[in-house]
Amino acid sequence: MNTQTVTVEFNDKVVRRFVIASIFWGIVAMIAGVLIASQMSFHVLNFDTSWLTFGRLRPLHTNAAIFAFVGNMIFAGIYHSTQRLARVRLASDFLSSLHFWGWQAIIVAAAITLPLGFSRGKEYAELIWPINIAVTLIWVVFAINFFWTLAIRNEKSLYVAIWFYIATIITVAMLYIVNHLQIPTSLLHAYPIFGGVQDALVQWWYGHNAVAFFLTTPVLGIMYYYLPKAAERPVYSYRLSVVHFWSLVFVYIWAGPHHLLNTALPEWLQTLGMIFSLMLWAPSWGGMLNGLLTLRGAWHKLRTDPVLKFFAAGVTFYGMSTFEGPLLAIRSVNALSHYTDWTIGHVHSGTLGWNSFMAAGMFYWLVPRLYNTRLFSVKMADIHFWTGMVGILLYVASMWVSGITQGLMLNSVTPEGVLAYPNFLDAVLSTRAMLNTRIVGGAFFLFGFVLMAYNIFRTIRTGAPATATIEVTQEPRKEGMGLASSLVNAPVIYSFLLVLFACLWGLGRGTLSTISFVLLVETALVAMIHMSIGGAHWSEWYERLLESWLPFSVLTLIAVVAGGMIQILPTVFLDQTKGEDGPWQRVYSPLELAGRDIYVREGCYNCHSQMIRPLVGEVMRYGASGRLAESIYDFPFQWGSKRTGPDLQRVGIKYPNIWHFQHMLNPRSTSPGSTMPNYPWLYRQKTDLAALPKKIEVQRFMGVPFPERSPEEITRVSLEQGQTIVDDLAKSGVQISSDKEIIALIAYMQGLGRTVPAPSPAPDANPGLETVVEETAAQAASH
Amino acid sequence: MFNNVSFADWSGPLAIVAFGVSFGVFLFFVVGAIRMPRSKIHHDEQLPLEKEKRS
Repeated sequence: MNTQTVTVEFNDKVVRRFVIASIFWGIVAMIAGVLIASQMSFHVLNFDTSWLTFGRLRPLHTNAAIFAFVGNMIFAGIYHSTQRLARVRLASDFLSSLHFWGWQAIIVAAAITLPLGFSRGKEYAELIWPINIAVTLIWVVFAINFFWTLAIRNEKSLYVAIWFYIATIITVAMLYIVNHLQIPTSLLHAYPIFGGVQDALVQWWYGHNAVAFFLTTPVLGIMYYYLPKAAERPVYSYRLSVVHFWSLVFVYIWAGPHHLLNTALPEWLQTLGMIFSLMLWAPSWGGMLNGLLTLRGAWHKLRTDPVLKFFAAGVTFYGMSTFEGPLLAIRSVNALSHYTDWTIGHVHSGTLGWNSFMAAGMFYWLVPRLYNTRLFSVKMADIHFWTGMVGILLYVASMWVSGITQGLMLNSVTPEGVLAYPNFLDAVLSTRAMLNTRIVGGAFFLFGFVLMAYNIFRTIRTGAPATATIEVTQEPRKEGMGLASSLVNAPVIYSFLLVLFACLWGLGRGTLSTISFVLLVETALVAMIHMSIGGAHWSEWYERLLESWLPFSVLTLIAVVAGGMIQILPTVFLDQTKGEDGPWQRVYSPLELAGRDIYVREGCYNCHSQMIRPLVGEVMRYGASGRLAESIYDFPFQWGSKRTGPDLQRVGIKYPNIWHFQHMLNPRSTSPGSTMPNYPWLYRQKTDLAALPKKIEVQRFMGVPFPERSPEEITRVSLEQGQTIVDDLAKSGVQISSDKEIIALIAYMQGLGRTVPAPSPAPDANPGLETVVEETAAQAASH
Repeated sequence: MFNNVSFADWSGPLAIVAFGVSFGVFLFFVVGAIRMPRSKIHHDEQLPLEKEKRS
């Protein structure tokens, strides 16, 4: 056998860059976080400035935390550990650099466009379509560089951390592409191709799995590499890590609908989301215990080693937040917790406790080695740990108290059968102390993080970029496993048949159930006999699969696609309104559509929902619960996920025009104690009526029955509708022209919740969507 | 009230097949993990612990 020994020099330049970028963007994200937390208590901090308002900065905070801070951190960890685990240098220095600079350019573009109000109006997916394309291209660069590195590796085994990285790359690509399918109306604006409940489902399938496959699986891979490294002992159970990986891949992707519990989402999907969320308890805690038990015999090091301290706390927070997540996904618990600060507390126990602490542990371990030096100050790292820990606890505990208080107050009904707290602001004002505590907690955490940045900076100053090498004995490569043989073979076929027959037995009826049971037993027997005869062959086949990155990746893709398909396809391809006999959403007028785009631009969905749940307190407070057919023309949907202000689904005509006019200018004038920002620029800026024809054309293409009108007609009817509002305002002594943005926004707000009767079904069949569209178009035209 | 949203009949089989496929992959790998030889596990779990030279 021809072997040769070569020296492999790792590309750590890109790792150093990603580490520094992660720390920098982490500080930006956290400063934005503390600022918007302060805005929730002190509205003056919005500075009456459009690009500094909460609605625009909150997306900046979330995107910066997820994609800039954690994104750069996972790229650093993946590139560093993959080279070591594959025993090879990254495949392409050019692609590595392109990945780094491309990602930073995307972050800068996001940091400019989001405060300027260029937003898609979907949480964690706000970036506009040109940036979406850039993200996709850079992700492809990352994928090519990663898989190319695996293809030329010198270590035949794929360590479990690499499995987590593979799942991340594949699944994030799938989620991102599907949730960002859209049709542009201009260079900076587009409408998603999904609307209403479809958009809600796709969005939270993405949103939930962005947490799963961007904030969790890659960090778990990092845990499985760096924790053994720092503890200087192998992972507690490698078998458990394998089970952990496949359980997460199998279960996580199904759990997205738990973000839409008690909404108009079809009930079977809500149940599906809830059940799979509860199933997540097992693998998550299995992974947490595997991480913590890796420290067996090394617990004493926690006293002196800040790296292990951060890792141990980070893994513990992983366990705590993955316990809390399924708990919140129980429908009855969710009825209390959803739309409140409890969710915010849950999210931050994950991002601060799990992501940030794991990042800190990794940085403290990695940077001294990348610069061939020692950590500048262990004492400073200890202070960082404790200030961070106090910060998290203050933050999370205050949000728990605040969230539960809000949930209880807003749903509370007196023995007389009326709302105990009819004014929504009662709940906001009573939690003010908790909101202030949150600011203190966030500031503590930010202080600790800045301390880390200084410590890392001083560490870098004392060292110099190191060159890391290993000696590798290269052997001729064994022939890898082909795609066909990896998918069509005895183990896979037996596994698939066993599950299929078990499902048909359990879910089928009569003869089908009986036959399925017989086939299940038969298949199990045949598989056992086959395994006992060819056991060696079976194991060998399995090992070869684990060493072949392409078939492995395809099987991962199949697992996640199957879970996504079952949720998305029925809702997207079937007539979602079939059988809906309740009221239907009225098609927006052109001016209302323009107002809606302003609503999306200002990020109103960050504080206001448009989905009344069928809960006593909500129906009494806001009106009849939301139905599926009431948001079919909403591109994007605006159901929201948090209420700092009341639900707006049926706010139309609830207040006079002058109320909205004064409320948007100074919310305290109509709602004393409100923390909502002032929006003075809406009274100066003109509505972009010129963009409406193209926007309406795109919406018509997607099936919204807008009446056919020329661009001139669209402008004319918009100004006419605006003039009716202006005339009404004039009665209260207000003078303003009909082309101002506030007029469009008032038109939109006054149209919310206004519906038309469901189209009457034909005598012999349910109406097809086309029939309904025609009828609704006629109604819209007459309106 | 949400029950009046009806879906086509094929959503039932689709759910079963989707569950079957993904659970099949899961089951296969878990059985494989349990049957992995000790030598293979020892080799894999030592991978992060390899030392490197720095200069």
